[in-house]
Amino acid sequence: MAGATAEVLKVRRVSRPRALWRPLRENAIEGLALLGGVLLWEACGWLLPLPWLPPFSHVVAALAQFIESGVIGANVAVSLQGLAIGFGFSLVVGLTVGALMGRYRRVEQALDVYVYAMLLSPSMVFAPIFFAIFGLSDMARIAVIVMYALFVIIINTSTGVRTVDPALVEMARSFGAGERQLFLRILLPASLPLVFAGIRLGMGRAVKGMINGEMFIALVGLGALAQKYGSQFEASKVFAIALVVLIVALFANWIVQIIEQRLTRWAD
Amino acid sequence: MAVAAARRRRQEERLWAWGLPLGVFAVGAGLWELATINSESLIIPTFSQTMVGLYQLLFQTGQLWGPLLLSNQALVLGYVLAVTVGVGLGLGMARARWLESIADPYVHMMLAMPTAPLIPLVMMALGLGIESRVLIVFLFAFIYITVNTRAGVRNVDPGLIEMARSFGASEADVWRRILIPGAVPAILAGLRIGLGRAVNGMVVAELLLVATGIGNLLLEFRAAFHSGLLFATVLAVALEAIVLLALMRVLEDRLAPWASSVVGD
Repeated sequence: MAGATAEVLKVRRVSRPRALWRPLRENAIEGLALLGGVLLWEACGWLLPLPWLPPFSHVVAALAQFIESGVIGANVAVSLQGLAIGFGFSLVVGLTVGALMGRYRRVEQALDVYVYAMLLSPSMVFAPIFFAIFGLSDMARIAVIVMYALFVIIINTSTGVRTVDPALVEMARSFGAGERQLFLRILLPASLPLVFAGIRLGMGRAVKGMINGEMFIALVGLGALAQKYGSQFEASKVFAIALVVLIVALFANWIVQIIEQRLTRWAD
Repeated sequence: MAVAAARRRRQEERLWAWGLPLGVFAVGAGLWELATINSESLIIPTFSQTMVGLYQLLFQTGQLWGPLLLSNQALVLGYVLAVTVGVGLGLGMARARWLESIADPYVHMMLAMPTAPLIPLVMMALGLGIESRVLIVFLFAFIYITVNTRAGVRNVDPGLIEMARSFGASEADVWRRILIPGAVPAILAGLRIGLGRAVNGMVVAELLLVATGIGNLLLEFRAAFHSGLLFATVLAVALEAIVLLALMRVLEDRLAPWASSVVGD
């Protein structure tokens, strides 16, 4: 599975979604491209009689109305609560299992093939099972989030711990470090960049799991709202919710980045 | 003596490599069976019921093949479309500075944006037919193919291009001799990641837009409380994804066995 290592290693630099204001400030062309897109959208919305493409201004109006009425606030809170629980669980289990797999060869041999199988499976296909088991409860939503986020965290953590420079481990050993010290002082800090790559990917996937699970169960949260207005053919409201989801995704990513910067300052 | 010991070590190691995962499987299946065998639950089947269900669906009644084929039509069409557009756009963005600048903020947005909230809009635009499912598969897959293609062409050593130019190579020559071969590993990896995303898109379209193939089968089994068949269908779809992606990996190692840089999700 050496190829997968390359995959997670390179991910950091390229796929990190930059905050939207940065290209705006740094790069006039990119800012203009965004502005042009919005203007084009607005023009098409007015000129073309497409029910699914309202003018951008209508989307903004719908968003403003949502915020004013408190509909968005309540649903964002519900969604974020599920996200926090599901992602928190994935984080604890993922880091633990990943660290054990990375440190102990036998654990890796035992679990590797199953973790990869789950990573490759389309996570959403398990939603009907969770729905059957948990019914309409919050557990179903949270379980979907865990399915999305958990396995990529395990794989990256295990790769990170396993690929720590053996010379470092040997040196720590020769200076008499025990297993606990070895783990806290050497393995944990040295594997941090890869571990965080996994956490970032896991967070991105968790947000997808959050919205997909909510749309499937269609009871609470932003996803349920999108389904509801979709069935009423209220395109500008659906766009407004999609915009909120994008903001939630960027916000979640930003939080992970902040924490990562705090914890990996030693690397600079 | 040393040779014999080494051989014994190797054999032992092979035993671990096979025995451990099989042991985990046996323990997992056993626990599942024990936990559910006495519950007489209509919701959670036993392990053996699930396996029997899978065997029935695949070989006895063959009930799975029709719906699976139906769902996969959208997968094939959407994926082909995503590959065409993704590779084209990726190549264009890698070589044309202006296209890159215009598209870049949108690429970042699409990488961060979950696709599912757009599904109601797809429904409004195209209805509930196969076009909608194809579009959803496309939307799931194409951006990862684009980004990997772009990264592949970008990572080609500029020195090579300069050298080719100084020996009088035209733009077409540079593409054919340097850029395409250099970018092939990343493009192939992008195609594999895109395929994984496309399968996700197929499943999401079935569950969130319109249940035609496997989605419909899942609904039927759930309504009839055929939990063994429900679990078996889920397992079958997961197995399809795993087999497809494993095949892609083999193909990739065959066609481009050298290292690559990859953007995944």
